[in-house]
Amino acid sequence: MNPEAPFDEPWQARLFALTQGVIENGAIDREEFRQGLIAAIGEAPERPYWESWLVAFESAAGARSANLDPSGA
Amino acid sequence: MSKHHEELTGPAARAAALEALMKEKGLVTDEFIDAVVETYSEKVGPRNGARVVAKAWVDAAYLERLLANGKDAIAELGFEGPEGDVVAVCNTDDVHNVVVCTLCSCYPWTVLGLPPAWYKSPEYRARMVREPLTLLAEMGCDVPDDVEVRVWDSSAEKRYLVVPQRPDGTDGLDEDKLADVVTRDSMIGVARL
Repeated sequence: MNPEAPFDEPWQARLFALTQGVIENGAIDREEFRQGLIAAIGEAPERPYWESWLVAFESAAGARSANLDPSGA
Repeated sequence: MSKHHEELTGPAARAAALEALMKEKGLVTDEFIDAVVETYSEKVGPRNGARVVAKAWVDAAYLERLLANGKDAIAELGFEGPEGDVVAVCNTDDVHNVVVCTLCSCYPWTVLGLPPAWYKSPEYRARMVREPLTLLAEMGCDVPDDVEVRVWDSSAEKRYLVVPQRPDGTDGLDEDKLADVVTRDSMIGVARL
């Protein structure tokens, strides 16, 4: 692991980009995601950063599943 | 656990499953993801911040605008991003500024790119608040005894950019050459120029 690099593995960069896309789309609120990230980091401080990000994104996507359905159902 | 099984259940697989779901819902496209990855790996990085600092060094009116409204002054140079305010804090003979995000990883992407792994580590986030002088020294940043260290805790609304002091012996340099002097770490505040 390179401590100077923002990403260790390609999936992390794609997850970052995916998150930005869904936030820009309005399906997930930026500040709500940040609060989820803070919570995910806080509940497992030693967990690798991008895995906490993943947990936060899974949680936000789950919580917003109604909004994520384009049919509105 | 077999290697194959790890591939199916590890974080990379979970992230790929989310990506597939979001694409299916029409919330994001491959083109968007590829463009963001390329932007942050190749286009946006600390060179942007170095341009801002170099301009602030040579142009007092620009420095004033940067201190009054960081986001707008940074946008003047063509650097714009999705984040909230950027607050520029100037080092002086009496004050050394350093930036941390104690709760997560807030960082001024537009001017510094994405944060390095150490910035997001539990150790940095805790110790830069608890014992900044010790941690700075361990990182090779010696702050003179008579200089006050100010630690700024970033948030989504306020992300900090340290404007380091212009080093001695740079009088003859133009803005481009000055920008080459400015390092990422000096703009986080974990190094002095």
